[in-house]
Amino acid sequence: MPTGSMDLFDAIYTTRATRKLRHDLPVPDEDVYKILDAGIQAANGGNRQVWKFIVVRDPRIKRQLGDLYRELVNWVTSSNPNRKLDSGELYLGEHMAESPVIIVVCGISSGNEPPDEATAVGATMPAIENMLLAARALGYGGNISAVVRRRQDDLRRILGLGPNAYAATLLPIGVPQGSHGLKSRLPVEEVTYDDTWGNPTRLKRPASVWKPKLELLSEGDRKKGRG
Amino acid sequence: MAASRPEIGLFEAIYTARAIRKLRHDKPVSESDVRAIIEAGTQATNGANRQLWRFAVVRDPATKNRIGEWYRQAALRVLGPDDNPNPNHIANSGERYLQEHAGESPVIIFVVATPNYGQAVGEWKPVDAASAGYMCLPAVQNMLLAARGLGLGSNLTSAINMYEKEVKELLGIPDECKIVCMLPIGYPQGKHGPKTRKPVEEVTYSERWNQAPRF
Ligand SMILES: Cc1cc2nc3c(=O)[nH]c(=O)nc-3n(C[C@H](O)[C@H](O)[C@H](O)COP(=O)(O)O)c2cc1C
Ligand SMILES: Cc1cc2nc3c(=O)[nH]c(=O)nc-3n(C[C@H](O)[C@H](O)[C@H](O)COP(=O)(O)O)c2cc1C
Ligand SMILES: Cc1cc2nc3c(=O)[nH]c(=O)nc-3n(C[C@H](O)[C@H](O)[C@H](O)COP(=O)(O)O)c2cc1C
Repeated sequence: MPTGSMDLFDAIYTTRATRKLRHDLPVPDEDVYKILDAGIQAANGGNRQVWKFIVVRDPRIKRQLGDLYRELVNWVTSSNPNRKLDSGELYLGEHMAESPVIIVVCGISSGNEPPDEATAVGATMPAIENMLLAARALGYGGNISAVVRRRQDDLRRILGLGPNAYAATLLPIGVPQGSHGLKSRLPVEEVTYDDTWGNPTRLKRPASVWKPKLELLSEGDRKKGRG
Repeated sequence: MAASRPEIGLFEAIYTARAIRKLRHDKPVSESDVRAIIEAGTQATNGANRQLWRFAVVRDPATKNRIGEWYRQAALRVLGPDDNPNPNHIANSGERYLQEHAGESPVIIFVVATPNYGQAVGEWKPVDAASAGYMCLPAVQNMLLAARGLGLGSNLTSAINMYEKEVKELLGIPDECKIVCMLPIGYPQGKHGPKTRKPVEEVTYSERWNQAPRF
């Protein structure tokens, strides 16, 4: 088990989608291993562990994945006129290939056919969350880039996927260009009901609720007076 | 930082948050812990930050009883009865225990995906119920870790979905929503601890499928 790690709740509150990665700073194999080992600890149906991971560092393969991802970002931009992509989302569209490492997370079946989309993505999501948290604790950032799953045939060709595999997402990992930090979320009170649907929760924001330590905050978060 | 809570490192939580199915029925779970677990859930990555999740906290004994009975039927269908067990899913004692005692859990949190909420946001296309469901699973993993961090045990329990229609009716959950799972929560009868997993080397390839990893 990696030691000297950060506090659990600090990690949960300050892991955010990190799309702008430093291309000049490496992610050593040892850290990739720690991230994967955290991933496979996740809850999974019947402990069948129907997941496989491909660690991509080869620039040629990264370029092919990057080209594919860019096409999908462009396609999303043109097919969802109401949804303006933010600068991070657009940046990743251009720079996926330059990520120090891309972990491809796959769902597998016990047969000879790939699992369907919902099964493969669902089976790997808890592991992916653990991986993002572990990356954060080790000083890295990453982002689920799952739109790419729509081009399964291309992924199959680029990665030589086995017949029983479905590539659920790319997970680019690297040192963030910016900082880790807080996220914007609806408060618990707005998303929780007691006993029956629509019945407001009696849960109250307790005095002991998690508060960020100052050093965990980015410049921007500090300016906004958060925490 | 919660004053009343000992700090726990992220990795310790990740490695020791195993499925806890045998819960103490005599020791209550505080409201502030339930809230902390849900808030940890809401911090998870999720599709386009649409936050399609809703959480229903069930403490009412009569409601828990009905749910417990449905879970018993569901688990029996998966695991088979004691005298004719399912050869493809050999039940461990925890699974059998939960089969009988889910209704006695101090708290049960239902994680519910609300596909229509995405429509209201009007950014992305509305997601169907299945995708809304998997978009809530990172939140569930955070909740399992948070429970561990607070000394509580829990388990991702989705077999209850065999009775999804009945549960929705009982709790008044709208038709278009999808129940992701239920999380029975309480103090563990036993201990948190390590899990059985295939090692990383067996589930990882380098560069392309079937190429052995470097580590
Ligand atoms: C989608 C999903 C559904 C699950 N449903 C059930 C369930 O209905 N009943 C149950 O006892 N465990 C259920 N589990 C828990 C798994 O069996 C458990 O995560 C797995 O055995 C690993 O346990 P461990 O972390 O203690 O090794 C479910 C897990 C997942 C991911
Ligand atoms: C299933 C799924 C698919 C996603 N696909 C993409 C993607 O293709 N590209 C991308 O930039 N972000 C993707 N994301 C990341 C989300 O947009 C991101 O987690 C969300 O905006 C919340 O960010 P925050 O945690 O920093 O607040 C995906 C997330 C999920 C859960
Ligand atoms: C930058 C970016 C961010 C995205 N974020 C998400 C996301 O958070 N969740 C998600 O399901 N899909 C995400 N997508 C994918 C699109 O939502 C989705 O795949 C696309 O709109 C097509 O819709 P469909 O796959 O439902 O047909 C993202 C795509 C891009 C390019």
